[in-house]
Amino acid sequence: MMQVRPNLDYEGPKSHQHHRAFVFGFEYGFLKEKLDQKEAAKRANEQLGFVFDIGPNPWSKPATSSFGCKPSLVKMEYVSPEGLRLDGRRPMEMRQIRAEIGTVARADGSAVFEMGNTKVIAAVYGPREVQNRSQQISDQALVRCEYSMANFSTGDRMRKPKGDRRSTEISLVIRQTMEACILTHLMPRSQIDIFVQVLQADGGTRSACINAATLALADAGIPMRDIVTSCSAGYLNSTPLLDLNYIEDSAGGPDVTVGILPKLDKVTLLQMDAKLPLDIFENVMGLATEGCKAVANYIREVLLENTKQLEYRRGL
Amino acid sequence: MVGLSVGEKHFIQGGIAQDLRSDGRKRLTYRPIYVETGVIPQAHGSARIRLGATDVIASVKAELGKPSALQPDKGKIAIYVDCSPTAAPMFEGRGGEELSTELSVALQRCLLGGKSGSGSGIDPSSLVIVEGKVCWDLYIDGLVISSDGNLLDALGAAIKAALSNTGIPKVNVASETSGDEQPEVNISDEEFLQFDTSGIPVIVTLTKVGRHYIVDATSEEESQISSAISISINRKGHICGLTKRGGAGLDPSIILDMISVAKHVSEQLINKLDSEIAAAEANEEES
Repeated sequence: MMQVRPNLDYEGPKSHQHHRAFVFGFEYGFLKEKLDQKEAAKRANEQLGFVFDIGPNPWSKPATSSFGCKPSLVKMEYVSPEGLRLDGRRPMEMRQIRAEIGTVARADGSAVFEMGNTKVIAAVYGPREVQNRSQQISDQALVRCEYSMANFSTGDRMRKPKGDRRSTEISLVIRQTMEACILTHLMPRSQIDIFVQVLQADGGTRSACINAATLALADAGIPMRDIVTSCSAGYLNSTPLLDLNYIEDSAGGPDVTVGILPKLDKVTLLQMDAKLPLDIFENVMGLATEGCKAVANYIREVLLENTKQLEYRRGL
Repeated sequence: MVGLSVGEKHFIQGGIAQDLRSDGRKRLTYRPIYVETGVIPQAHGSARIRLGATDVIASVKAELGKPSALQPDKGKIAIYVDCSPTAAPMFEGRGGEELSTELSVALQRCLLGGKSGSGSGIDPSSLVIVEGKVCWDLYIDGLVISSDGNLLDALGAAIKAALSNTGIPKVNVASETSGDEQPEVNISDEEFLQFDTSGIPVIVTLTKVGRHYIVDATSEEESQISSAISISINRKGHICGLTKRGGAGLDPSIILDMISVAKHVSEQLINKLDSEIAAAEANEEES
């Protein structure tokens, strides 16, 4: 299912945390920064495209208030000349992944998935009786999904964690992706609920949610064709970058999210923002697919380890 | 939640009457509490508490704002609880709103005192920066990830742990301004003020099942309650807030008895919680 569409990002953190000022314009911040801004503007005027120092990484320190504007950035450099990104990674390097199965005891299956600073909990309830009789399907299971972000997940506190357009869209995307891989015909007239809760958002929440949902479904023992893994990639400063974090994502460059079934080698999710020439797009999509395969290897390891633990506990 | 059969109901009630609950605890014993602080790095303070299978996260964020005209020397504190659908399928969409509102209001009553801000467990006058003009707005957010009964106690403990983990950045007021001008403030990135949490109360919920009361009910036991009282008690043994839930009426003498039992239980709980929080913070500093 291929969807190439314009940026559907939420209003909120992006607008005032990362102002991008072009060379001849800048916003004034605190009294102290006014002097620094003038200096920087002078320098920038002398050399067009001068690389400006970015502010502290919003996720490494507590969020400061948005009482005044943040110091604005003049033409950001996302990949340094030595080939290092803002957080010190190489362009083809993913963030650190960590997964844990079985965190929510009451759910039929649950998992926590972390990609760098993005942390997501998924819980699966099902297969169970359909709650709303009118939605019952006589030959298949009904798959439902809800995506919600915690109030504290983004740098600026979100007022409305559910029901906004972006959450609805992501819920739909996750549902369609997982529905493609669950063997729904084995469980007619039943319902499978996938609930995903974002605890920390630092870019790539969509991918982390799909990976977490896969683990949770496996933990619930729901039959699937294959695991679904997902990863995102982008293209900034003429370099394809794997696994974008929040800063790179809000840079306005293209963001390609890919979801694949690794064993069957099929693509189930493909979304892109902004625009890319076709040959570069193939590169970036290939990179994202490689990322997905790396995630798939990790997920398989985690599932194997989990099964060994279960065997051990049963005394086998 | 799966329904309980008549046999199971009798089993639970009989066990409580004999001081032996389904998981082996006595009536006034809490489940083991696990505290983890600093789980949300972008908040000013955060904590995660696990009470058996109940799992809650609390985060504290401070933003600069203007104090209300009625109380120019006090900051503002807001507590908001959200029930994640991962805890129960019925919390999907707007299903969890009723419970979220009930928990938020109960927590506000227990921790924040009356409408004028008097009698609050958290001192709002410590949040003011420039009287009448600039103050800290404290937003305390609770998230219920997994629910197995006794949400109020867990949330109260999580908020206490999160507040002790909170570091409010130091603020320097840049210049003297007069009249209605907003003063410019400089928020330091380096120095932080730790919150004083010794005055913050803990919440103890006593559930009455049959003729006896239990502390820290699991969700199966909670389905059998006739009535419950949640009391917030601080270190000095003073009652900071009281909420009665459940339809059955209670004799006033029983209520007074429950309050004294809660006071007794709260001492152990406060000590246990403080030591767990200190251990969690020490762990966090090491890692």
